[in-house]
Parts: sequence; C-alpha cells; structure tokens
Amino acid sequence: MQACPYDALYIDPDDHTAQKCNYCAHRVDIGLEPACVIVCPEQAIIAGDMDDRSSKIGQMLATERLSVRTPEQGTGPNVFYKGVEASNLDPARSGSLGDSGVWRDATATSRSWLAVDLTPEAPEGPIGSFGAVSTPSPPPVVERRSGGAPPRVVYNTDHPAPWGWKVSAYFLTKGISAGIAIGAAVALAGGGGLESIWMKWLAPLIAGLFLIATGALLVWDLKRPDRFFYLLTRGNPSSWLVRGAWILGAFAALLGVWFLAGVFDLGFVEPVIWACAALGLGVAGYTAYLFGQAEGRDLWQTPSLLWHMIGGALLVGGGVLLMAASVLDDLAPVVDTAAWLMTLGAVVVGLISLTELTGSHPTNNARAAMHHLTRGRFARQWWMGQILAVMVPIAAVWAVQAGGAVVVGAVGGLAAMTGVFLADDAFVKAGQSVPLS
Amino acid sequence: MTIQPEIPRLVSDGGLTNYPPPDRWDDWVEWDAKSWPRREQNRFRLVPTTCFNCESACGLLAYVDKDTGEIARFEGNPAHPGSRGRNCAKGPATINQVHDPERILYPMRRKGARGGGDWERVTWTEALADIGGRIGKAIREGRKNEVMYHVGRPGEDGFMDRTLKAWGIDGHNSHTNICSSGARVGYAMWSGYDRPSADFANASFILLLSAHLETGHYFNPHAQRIMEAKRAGAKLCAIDPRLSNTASMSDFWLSTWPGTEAGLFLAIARLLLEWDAVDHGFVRRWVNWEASLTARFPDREVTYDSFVEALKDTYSSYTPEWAAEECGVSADQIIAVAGEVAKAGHRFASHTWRSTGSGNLGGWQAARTLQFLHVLTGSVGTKGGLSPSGWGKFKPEHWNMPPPHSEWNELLWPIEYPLAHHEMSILLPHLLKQGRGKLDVYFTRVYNPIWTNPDGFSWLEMLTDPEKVGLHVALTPTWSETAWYADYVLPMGVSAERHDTHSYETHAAQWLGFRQPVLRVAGERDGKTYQRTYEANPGEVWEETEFWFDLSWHIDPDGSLGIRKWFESPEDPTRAVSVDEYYGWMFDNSVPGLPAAAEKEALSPLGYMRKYGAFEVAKDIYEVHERTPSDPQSGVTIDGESKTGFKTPSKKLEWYSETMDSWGWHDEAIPTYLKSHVYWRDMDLGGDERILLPIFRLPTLIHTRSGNAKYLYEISHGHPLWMNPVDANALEFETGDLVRITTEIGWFVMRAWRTEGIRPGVVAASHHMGRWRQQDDSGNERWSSALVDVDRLGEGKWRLRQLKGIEPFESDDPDSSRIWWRDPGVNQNLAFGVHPDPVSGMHAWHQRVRLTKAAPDDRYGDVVVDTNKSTQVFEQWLQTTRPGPGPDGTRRPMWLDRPVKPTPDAYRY
Repeated sequence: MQACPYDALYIDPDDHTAQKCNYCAHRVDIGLEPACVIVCPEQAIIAGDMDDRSSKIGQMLATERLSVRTPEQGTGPNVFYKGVEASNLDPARSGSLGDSGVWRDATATSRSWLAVDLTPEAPEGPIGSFGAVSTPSPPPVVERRSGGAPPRVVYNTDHPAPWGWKVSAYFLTKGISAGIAIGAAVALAGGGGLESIWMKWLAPLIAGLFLIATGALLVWDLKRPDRFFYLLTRGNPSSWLVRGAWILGAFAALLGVWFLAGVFDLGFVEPVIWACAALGLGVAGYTAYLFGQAEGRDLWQTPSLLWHMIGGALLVGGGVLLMAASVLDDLAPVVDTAAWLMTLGAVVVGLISLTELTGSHPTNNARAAMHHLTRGRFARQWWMGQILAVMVPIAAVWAVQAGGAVVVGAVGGLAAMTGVFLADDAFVKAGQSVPLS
Repeated sequence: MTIQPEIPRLVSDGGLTNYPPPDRWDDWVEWDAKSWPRREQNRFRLVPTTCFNCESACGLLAYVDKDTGEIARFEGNPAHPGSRGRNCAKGPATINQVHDPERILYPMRRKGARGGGDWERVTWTEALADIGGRIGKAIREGRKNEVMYHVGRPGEDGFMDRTLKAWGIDGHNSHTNICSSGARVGYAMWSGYDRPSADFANASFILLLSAHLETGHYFNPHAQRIMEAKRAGAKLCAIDPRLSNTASMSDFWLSTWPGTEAGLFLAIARLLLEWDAVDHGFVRRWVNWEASLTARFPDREVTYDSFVEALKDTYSSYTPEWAAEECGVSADQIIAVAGEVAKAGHRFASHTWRSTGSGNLGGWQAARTLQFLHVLTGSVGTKGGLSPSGWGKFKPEHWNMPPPHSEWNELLWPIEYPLAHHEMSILLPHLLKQGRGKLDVYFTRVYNPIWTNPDGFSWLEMLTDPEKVGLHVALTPTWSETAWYADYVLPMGVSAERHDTHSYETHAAQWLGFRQPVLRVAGERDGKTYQRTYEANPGEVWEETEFWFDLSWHIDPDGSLGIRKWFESPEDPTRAVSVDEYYGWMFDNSVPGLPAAAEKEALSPLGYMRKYGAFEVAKDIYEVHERTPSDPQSGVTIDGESKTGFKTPSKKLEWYSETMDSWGWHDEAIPTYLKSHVYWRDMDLGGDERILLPIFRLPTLIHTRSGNAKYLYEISHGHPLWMNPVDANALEFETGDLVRITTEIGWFVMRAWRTEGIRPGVVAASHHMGRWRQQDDSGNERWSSALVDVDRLGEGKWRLRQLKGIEPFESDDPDSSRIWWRDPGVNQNLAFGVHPDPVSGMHAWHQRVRLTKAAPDDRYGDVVVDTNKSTQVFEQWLQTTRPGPGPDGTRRPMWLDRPVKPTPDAYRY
C-alpha cells in the first residue's frame, strides 16, 4: 500500500486484505467492459485494448493529447486522462480540503492533507462567471478563462494512513533489541563486563523480550495476522518486509544461543555477542530499505535514513547499557564505554536531523512532508523528540563525566528512547501525510 | 459457486461489450469478483425492472443469484430506450434498499397515541378489511371527499387515476406544488403541455436553468444526450446562483439574482428581435398573433409585421444593460448567450423544471419566457430543439377504464387557486384548520409531508388531530417522519418488488417501461406459481397494484357500490383481477407495435415486456404540430391546411393567454417579468438579511427516499450552509460556525461553509438532509437520521432538537457498524411558511432570512417554529389570490390538465 504512488490500494473491510481496482479482470476475461464503464451516463470512461489501433482507446492514444498521473514515478500507468485540469491529477496543485467540504463530513484523514500553509487559500472576491466575451455582436467568440487562484478542494475521498503507532513502536522495540546487542559488543571492546550477569544472559533475555514485542507489533499491524506465515513461506524475496522477517528471525535465534551460552557458561559468549551485534546493525538498518521501497512516500526515500536508524540503535544501545549499569554494580567498568556509545549515537542522530533540516529535498511530495515534519502538524512532536534524543543524552553524559551518579546517565538513556520514539513516530506519520491522489 | 475452467468470451477478437445478450439472460454465468483470481462461477437469472429512485424510470437489470435465490446486484438495462443501459449512482444503490436491514417487512398498526411509537403487527386481511370498510362507509354516506390519496413519487402512470375513477372520488393529491407547478404553468400556457422535452443529442446550444447535467428529473437520460451534443461541438450554458457541477462543466455560467431569470430571458428575446434572429415563418404560422394583437393592441393593424413591432415595443425596455443590472450578470455575457441562441436557431435546446420556477413568487414566468425564446427561434419540435412533453411520452390505455367521476374536492382545488397546476397540497393543514372539511381516510404514499413540505409542524398538528384525520395509512417501504404519525404502516415494495408502467419524454421518441417484481418473475421462470407478489417479496411486502385491487374489493365486497366490478377478473368475476390479466390486456391492446415485436420472438406481448422491461413505440418524433390530424375537427387550419397543432384553446402557441386574462391575470397573460418575493432590491442586504436557496439537489440523493441507501449516504451526507466569503466576512462567519437562520415563522441552526461557489447575497443548503427519528431503534433509517426530541413548548410552539447524530449500529449488514459519517444535517422545511404562488399554486421555496450568530442555547440542528405565525403567512398569501369562478362560471379552465379529471358538470361552481 505504501509503495503505490497513487494511494490506490485500500484494505477491504470484509477480508482485511489489500485490494485495488483490477480493471474488473473477472469481467474483461469474458469480454465484458469494466463495471465503471457501463454504468457511466456520460460515457466518461473508455476501456479497451490499447494495442489494437482499431479500438477506440487505441485511436485515442494515437491521435489525442492525453495525460497520466505522476509520470515522474515511472510506473507506466495505463489510465489516461483527456482534457483534464492539472490540479485534478496532482493534489499539490490544488488547495487542501481544510473543512467538511461540499457534502461530506471531514474525517481525521481527509482534512488538511497538503501543507495548509504551503498553498495559499483562494483569494476572496466577487463571484465570477467564466465566459469572457471578446465581441459584443453575434456571433460572439467566447473563451474560457484560465489562471487565477488555485482551485480549492471541496470534496475528497478518505485516504487513511496505513501505518500508525504500531509501526513507530516497532521502530523502538527493534532498536532497543539491536541496541542491547551492539552495546554489549562495544562494552566488550571497551574493556569487559563479561563477568556481569548482564553480559552473560540478562542482556540477551531482555533483547529477546523486546524482539518478541517487535514481532508481536508487526503481526498485529498486519491487517490479516493469520497470514503472517505467508511472509515466511510464500513471501516475495525482493521485498524488505520479507527480508526483514528473515533478519529478525536469525537475530532471534542468535540471541537464543547467546542466552544459552551465558546461562550454561559454554565459553563462547564473546563471539556470539560479536555476531549478535553485527546482526543487530542489520536489524536496525534494514528498515531503511523497507521504507525506501515505499515509493509513494518520498520523505522515506532519503538516503540518510539508514544512518539515522543505525545512529538510533547506537544511542539506544548506549542508553540501555547505562540503565543496566545503574543497577548492576559489576557493570561499572563499562560505564564510560556506554556513555561514549550514547554520545556517538546522539551525535549521529543529531547530525542526520541537521542534514535533513538544511538539505534540499528532491520532490514536492518530500518537501511537503518535510514541512509537516519540521514546521507543520508534526513539528512539536518531532522537535521534542530531537531534544530528548540528542540534547538530553549528551547533557546526561556530561553530568556523569562530571562526577554525577550513573543513574543520571540512565535517565539520559530513558530520554533517548522516548525521543527516538517521538521523532520516528512523527517521521512515519509525516511520510504519509501528503496526498497522492 | 462451482469451479469451472472456462466461460466462453462474449466477443471473440479481444474486444469488449457492455452487457450479456438477452438470449443468455436466463442462464448467465460469470466469474465471482471477490474470489478472483480464483475462477469461481456464479449463475444468474437476469430480470429487467425499473428504477424508482427518481422520476426518470431508467432501466435496471437485476442479477438474481440462482444458488441463493436473492438479488445480488443491479446494473442498467441495455434494452431500455431512455437510459440505454446506463445509470446514475441511485440505480445500482437500489440493492441497498432491497437489503436494508431496517426496512419494514410486515403491516403495522398503531397502539396508543398517534406518534407514540407503539406498534403491533397485523395481518394484511385485517388491515384491508378495516381500511376498506371505512372507505366503503364514507362513500356510502356521501362523504367521498373525506377519502384522499396523497402521493409523492408516483412511479406509475394511469393506474391510480383509474383506481380513483373506479371509486368515483376526487381524492387524488400529489406533491406537485412543492415540486414543479411553476414550470408547468409556464409551459402549459404556451402549448397546453406542461413539460419541456429537449432533443439534447442534436442541439448545438443548450441552456439549462438548473443543474441538469448532474441532478434533476431525467438527468441520467438527459445528461448522456447533453454530453453527446457536447462531443459534437454543442455549447452549454448554466444559469444558477450556485456553481454547481453542471455550471463547472459549462461554457457559460450566469450567476443570476434568484427570481430575475425571466428578465434575463426577455433581454435575450429583445436581442433576438433586434437582430431579427426570428423564424418568422414559424411565428407567423404557429403563434396566436391575431388574437394577441386584438387583445393587447386593439388600435393596431392586425398583420404579422404589426405583431412583430408590437413584440419589439413590449420588450423595448429589456435592454442587456437593464438585465445586467437587474439580474446581476454582465451585459456582455447576456449578449454572448443571446448570440449563441441566435446562432443555434432550430438547434437550440433548453431545460428548466424546479430552480427558479419553484423558488419564486411568479417563478412560472421563467419557463414561459424561456419557451418564448424557442418560439422566436422556431426551435419548437425541431431536431435539436424543444418539443412539448406529450410528444415524447407514451400513455397506454388501461384495462376496463371507468368513466370520469363527477366530484370536486375543495380541499384539493380551492376556489382561490383556479389556475393552480395540480392540487394545493401544501395548504391541506390550513384548509382543514379553517374548517373546509375533514379527512376520514388519508393515504400517504411514498410521501413524507412532515419532513418534505413547508411548515411541517402544521402537518404534525393536523396528523395528530383525530378530528381532522380519522385514519392515516402510510404506504411505504421504510419508516419516515410522517409514517411515524400513521395508524397503519403498510410495507410496499421498492422498485424491484412491484408492477408499474411508465413513460417519460427523455428524448425525441416514445417508449413504455415495465417495472416488475424480479424475484416473482425469476421464480415463475423457475416454474413456481404465485397468486400475489408478496409471496416472492421479502417478508410480507406487498406491491401496490395488488393492494389497490384487493382494497377496492374490500370497499365494495358485495358489489353494491358499483366499485367491485372494475376489479373483477375477466376470467372469474368472483376473484380480483391479477396483474398478468391487467398488464396482459394493456400490452395486447394498447401499445402499437408491441404485439408484432413479441410475435417475432414467439412471445406474448406480456412475455416480451417481462423479458426486456421496455419497448420503444416510436422514434425521431419531431414537429408533431405540423402533422395532419386523424380527425380534421380536432386540428387547426394553418395556411389553408388542417394541422394537429397544440393543446391550447387556439391550438396554437399562445403568446397572449386569453385564459389568464379572463381569469383575472391581465398583466401576466403574456411572457413578462414578475418581481419575486425574494427580490434582491427589497432586502436588507446591507444588514443581515440574505436570500436562502433551500432546494438544490445533490447528484446522489433522493429526497427522503435514500436514507437507507448506504452507498449513496456514504458519498453525500454533509449539510453546510453555502456562504460567499463576502457575506461571511460582513456577517463574521468562519467555516464551521453555527448560524441561526431566521425565517418568518421560526429559525434553524446550521453550520457555515465559506465558498466562492455561490453568489454574494445568496446562501444555500441542499434539501436532502436533516432526517430524524424519535426512537433510537425505530422510526427512521439509522444510516442517515438524527435521534431527536420533538418538544411542544407552548400552543403552536415547537422545537426539534437533535440528541445525537449518525452513529454506527449493529445489524445483519456488517457495514452498519462501519458508518464513519456523523452529520445528519438540518431540516430547513419545518421553518418555512407556505408560499403558494397565486397563479401556479407552486410553493415559492426561496426564503428571506436573517443570518445571525447562534445564541448561547442554540444547538446544531435546532429547529424552532411557531405555527400561529404559519397561519398568518398562509393568510397573507391567500390575500394575493384572484379567486374563481371564471368567466364561464367554472372552477377552473376546463382545457387545463389536472389529475383524475372530473366530468364537466363538476367544474360548475
């Protein structure tokens, strides 16, 4: 659904699966025109074999000027429009449906989709009539006036955002899980803590619990949870949804090995931690590729998303380690390492945000979404997230370095997790906030 | 469902067609849409019927699932000459009305007080015996005028006329004077035909005084033909204060001051005369210019040239500059549109039905002046022009037709309104209040006056007063605000559950459509037999044809009143006639060409109509007035030849109406411009007064009959008050603000919606919304209605207050729990006093209103009314009438049409 640059898919309320117009394949197969064609009083829809030059559609394609929606997406659409106003194809060219419109209720998802402040309201003025006259004597020549204020949307259908808080929460749980593994590895590199129960079995246990939560959120968010196994058994291997499921599965298995190795003191905890951390980077980062496949959401196409995800995992990893160290005395040797890791993560996340804020964005859609994210509807949440994820952890680390209790660092870690959740949640919503049709 | 590998393609070479061919309608196999791409087959019987959701009577094709025996869906009927297989949204939505989980399935009788909401199920036999007995008693006791049948959408043609004639009563009441009386008078005074029938498909310029490309009667058949013309290069002009979808698709949009349109048309007429863009041959032959000159210009020479000069003199003041100022559009535009009319000549088509004619005092002159443009250009009856309705409508004879009755019902045809086009139905509560009569048995049939008519609280007072209405029988498939106040609620079939015939002037042809109960027809094809349609319908839902047969029988069970004989089966006089016998006779005997067409297919005429649902009687009907009449006495002599002519007393087109003149309307007897009751110059536009247009339609709703059509209600349900930002700024309203809209008799509260799509000075809200129910789980459709309290605050003082809006609910239909819309809208009509035009009888819907901020206690949807003030408004408008009798001592000019026309004796006052 997120990959469709036309927002043409929807969830069928009866069987909860994604659906779209299939050109009435069941009718066309037996030689009947699609249902929308036969019902239309004005015969506004013409269907047929495009390759057959003798068909009406074939002739129109050969001889008429026709338009398509968002040609820049390169989807090769087979729906063509004749004599259409550009604003009807591109929602960025019309104002927003900022109210109930002409004859239907506003809903949370139909109101003010495009940046209200990006598109000026149509100026108020006397009601006009088109049909400017060039000569007062018959036969008059009448021209239709063009230009003027941008058209206002007065009716729209609902385009509910498919992804909500469950997806944002999955970012967080997965980030914590990956961060624990990465943090443990960094702790090893930084001088030990291997004797701690944390490094032995508590860390993989908690990481495992968060990973279970991640899986639960993912399955829950599927509109048909019973079809989860399709992802594993019948999934499309080029889809990062499917690849992600494999990565998560492998990570879960490795965490199990770590846990068992730690509990039974099997002696290979150290290499397993390294392996978990490496896979943890994959767990954190694959989402960037998954979002990158959502062709309809230009905001999510940004190349910095991978580094943001990894930065977030380092940040949370450092934070969790500090939180563990604040209750487990035997982790005292790794406090500095953890602080260093959290700082690194905060700096990476902060720098990426700064880059996005100051950089340019390639499409109108991305610009509009970025506007929503940083200056529009989601700005308050996003900025709050930045403060909690970047400023507060750095300040906490500084306080710990200056002699403060470890628990201050733990509070910084908690703030980091909250901040990452808020910022990512805003990012998920803003990406879906720009109308595609 | 069975899984099969292949279904043969309908078209061999990869092409596509629109419908299965009729020879496969009895066993149609197609792939299941939901299971696709799994190939599962569904088998259907395809049964044609007719849509009942507006007047157009477009063809539908019901897909009856052979496995479940239920109707799966409706598509268009490709064999229907009017709609040609296409439908608007309201056609396929018929399926919602069939499967409505809240529809009434059994006859109900009131327990407790009227309007108390306590009902008990009764048998049809009990109901028929009670109602029939009561009517029989009234007729026997000479109280014939106490029986009244009040119809909203008739959906049939001639059947009730016959029934009431058989009863010998003058009891037909219609909804026409809340609908179209205005335009009807405007057209009828010209030609005797009360409707326009444009040949849109062949026109080169089309003028719509309406939003006819998207809404209105016949809009589906008309819109498809308007677009045909547009594809061939025709230009379109929409005249509407509102930027409708139609206006947005037009080449010209003239946003006039409401009620000034006749002035605009006369300015165009003046230009046509000035440019000599007049078809003099036509005008000389077909306009009553001699009589016109003699009556209006007695000093002038009676020559055609003198008449043309007289026309020029009459309209000399209607300059484009004057009209620009008066109507609020630019003179250049008026000249441009006039130029298009002139250029189009015989291929000038137009349409008006409600809009101005139904909004304004004197609004009937809009149709009269618009028709004048056709007369001048000679585009009357031409290809691409405008014909009288009667030429495009086929009226078959009904079986065993009784003679006219000889009654006159003063409650329907009061002496004050001798020229009214159709009954003065909006006045019924007031006439009863004045003591002009009472009703013993009152049928409301697909009619909802409490909601639909102006001044609904006066209707509520009337219906709750047993002294005024003895027995109220509501014939309806669903609950309604009015059925709530019935004594019997009798469920009647929706479009796919009944028999009717109909024909409308959709284009330059004549056709007859046949509505039929599809489950009964499908069952009969399966070899089942039925005595009555309800056996095949859901629950105990009857069809009205059989209801009236059986009720007539119960009125006169022993035949002593002479009523029963009109309903006895020709085969067996001891039982009532059957629908097959009734319509079989009609199709055998009174539809030219049908028996021959049926024979070609080895079908009976009835079998042909059951198979195809419609029959084209004639096509390419033009210039009927020029035909030689079969009876020379009935014609008119033009240039020495006998011609059919028109239906006026002169058989010509009457620029000057001697009838109007002699019945007291001298100045109005020619096409002229009358000031509306919402004339803009009379209003306090600098203050908070504005003109309210409360009657525009939406493309997807049907008055109060679409509340159970979820497909339609999901598309349209919002009900904002359209307000131009100029007005919104002046009165300080933002979108969403509550506005108290004060009328002569009360006020209501809506929300403002700022839009450039309406003329400043004018506000508008569609007429569909504001449905209500008084019990949470009963009394109206929950898809569309608010739960309300109806409070009597004092003598005549009423308040309707919404307790909650639309909410999801649990039912057999899972969609009812998925309702996401909340706004039930606001009923405006309750707060309107009656405004009967003294000529046409049309309720002038537009309102002078004051717009103020809602008071602190006001809530969205509040309606507060004082019916004492309603009475005053009624009396004020009554003062403007010029009562009969006419010059010949009759109650009404006999040549004017009226429903269930009585014998000439009854016309004597």
